[in-house]
Amino acid sequence: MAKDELAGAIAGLDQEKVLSLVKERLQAGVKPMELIGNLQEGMARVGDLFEEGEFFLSELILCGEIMKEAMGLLEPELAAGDRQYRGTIVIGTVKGDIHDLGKNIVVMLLRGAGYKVIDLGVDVAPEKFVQSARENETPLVAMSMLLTSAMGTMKECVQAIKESGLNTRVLIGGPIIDDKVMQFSGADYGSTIASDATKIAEKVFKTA
Amino acid sequence: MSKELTFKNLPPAVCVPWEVKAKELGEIKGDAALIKKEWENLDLMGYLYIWNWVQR
Amino acid sequence: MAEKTSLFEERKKRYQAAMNLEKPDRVPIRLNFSGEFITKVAGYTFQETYYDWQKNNDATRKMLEKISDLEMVIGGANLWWAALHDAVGAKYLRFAGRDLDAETMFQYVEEPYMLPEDYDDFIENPTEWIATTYLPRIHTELAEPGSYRATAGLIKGAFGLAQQLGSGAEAMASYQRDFGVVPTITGISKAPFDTLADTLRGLSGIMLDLYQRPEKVKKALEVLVPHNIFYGMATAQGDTDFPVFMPLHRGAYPFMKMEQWVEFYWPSLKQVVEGLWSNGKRTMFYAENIWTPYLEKIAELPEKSIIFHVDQTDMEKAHQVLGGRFCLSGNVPNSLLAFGKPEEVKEYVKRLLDKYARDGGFILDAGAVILDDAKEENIRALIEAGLEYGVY
Ligand code: B12
Repeated sequence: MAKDELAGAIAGLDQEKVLSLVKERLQAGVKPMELIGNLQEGMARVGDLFEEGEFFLSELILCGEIMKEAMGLLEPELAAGDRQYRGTIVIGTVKGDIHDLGKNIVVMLLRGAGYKVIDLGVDVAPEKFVQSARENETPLVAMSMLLTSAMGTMKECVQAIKESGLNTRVLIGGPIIDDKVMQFSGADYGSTIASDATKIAEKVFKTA
Repeated sequence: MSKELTFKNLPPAVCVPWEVKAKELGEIKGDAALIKKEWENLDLMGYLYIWNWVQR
Repeated sequence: MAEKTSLFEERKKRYQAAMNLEKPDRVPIRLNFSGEFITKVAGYTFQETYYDWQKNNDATRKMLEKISDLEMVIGGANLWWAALHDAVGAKYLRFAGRDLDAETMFQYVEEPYMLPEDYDDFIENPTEWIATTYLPRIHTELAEPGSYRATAGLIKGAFGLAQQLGSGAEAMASYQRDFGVVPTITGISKAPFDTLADTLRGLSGIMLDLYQRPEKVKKALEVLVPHNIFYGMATAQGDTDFPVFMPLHRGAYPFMKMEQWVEFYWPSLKQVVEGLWSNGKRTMFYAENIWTPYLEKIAELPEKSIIFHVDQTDMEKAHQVLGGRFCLSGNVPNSLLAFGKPEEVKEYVKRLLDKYARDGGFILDAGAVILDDAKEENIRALIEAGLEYGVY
């Protein structure tokens, strides 16, 4: 169980409690960044619960909604420059594929974990990944894919990053990722589980 | 938000119920069953067209 | 001609025997090809078959000429005619050659096109709500009901669909006549939850509804049950020789936790399957992705009322729990068809059939819809293996 009450309320998906605790603490003068830290702790717990098979997509999506509302209360209180990120990650669903529900969950978890996430959307071409990685100087690009038929473009996307000369790692994810796909694509990391994204990001950003 | 609905709780296959149409037509001079059958057939086509955009 | 007729009868008999849990002469081979695969084999561009319905229907014919021993087809290549969607101004679809490259698969833009506040009207009269609120919302041509554009759009849409269905039926009859192939399915329907989740509320919408307005969701599902039974029968034009297609989308693991699945997904789906079955109509229970946790519940359905299709569901468990009760199909991995070698495909099929088809009640198919990544030689290998190892 999470130590902090607010973190616990997020992990318990208790919307009312989350919102009232955020309001209460803001009034008591707690710094918004500290509250964001609490929310992130709860979110990380939710990611773990999903991975352990305790939580399902319905719960992840509800959690995302609660986070959104809580952030809505916090954002006006944040002074410019207040917001600190653990780093920037570029993400998108590869060209030829438009499934984005899984990717959106990954985005939510990464944001929840304190990263700035540049979401390029769906049907993203190799050049677009490279361009965004360059502009944002990110050490990690994440790609999502559900269709087996998008495997070819997935590989092109990975290769484009590799050949760009950028010092950027590539994480691929989706339900059909396995050893064969990993080998074929040449990606650095791969997973079928959304919450792995935060773990892999942690690894990458530690060494970055 | 909610517009006034023309009908409530219509069953499948029906856009405009025959009973409603029959009332509007008043006295039917010939074979009412034939008119009803053909009304319902085209009504069904309308129904399937409408639902085709949702059942996909 | 007579030869094709007897081929048709032979295949139909084989298919039906398997669905009835009997042992036919050999395992039937049913391959669920996407329009894109068929288009590729036929040598057309995606844009050509999405837009030109003649070519769309011709593509299947070309495939049947090129790949021998195909026993079943669904119809022309694609499900959706792009031109019809242009005529009504469909916001939610993007097509090759229009807003996508000519060789890109179509794209669906998922949004909550039905809003939370629409539930009440939907529940009171879904047909009217779809016609008066939903269609103008998702079709730009219909945006101003009563206007010239909207009136023309409605007329063109209705004509377009009639034209599409008419030419599709003609094409199907010609495949049957010239190649002796049987229809994989007749008619289509959905789990009520999927009707609500796919085109209406979208995934995030429906998932939040489970928490924020569960009673409305349940009421809407209840309202949908008779419509979905009817839709399956009507689109099959009353046929009961072949199963109705039911692609099951949002009931897979891990969309919902068990309690939610039991409360929201299952009851209305069960009613639809049972309703169809009471009309003599079997359901092709196309369980996309993973359904392992729900097998025991599915076993509650009337014996033989479904063909349980295995995608990523644990095959061993599906066989254990559902075998002997329902015909099983699927399981050949799509990644194998895309990346494997023909020998590997044959080897896989052999093992699959040895293990799970021995007692009959089995249909050979890929796990998921076969996309254009599948190699033609692997499809041939799959068929060969079926012909060779599938004999009883
Ligand atoms: C919803 C859905 C759709 C929706 C997509 C809506 C949207 N906005 O995403 C619509 C209707 C548009 C659609 C369209 C199509 N679909 Co579809 N679709 C599905 C369905 C039912 C669910 C997918 C889903 O959203 N799952 C829920 C999410 C949350 O799970 P997920 O994406 O797997 O993500 C999880 C993990 O994989 C992971 N993850 C995902 N991305 C990433 C990224 C990283 C970095 C990490 C770490 C982890 C990670 O984390 C998530 C949470 O754990 C599946 C079948 C099924 N039940 O799975 C078919 C399925 C994926 N679709 C399929 C097909 C064939 C299509 C179409 C081609 C249909 C057609 N021929 O008519 C089109 C494709 C159009 C295109 N150009 O892409 C096939 C693919 C088969 C194959 N050979 O690859 C499937 C498997 C169905 C089937 N069994 O045949 N589809």
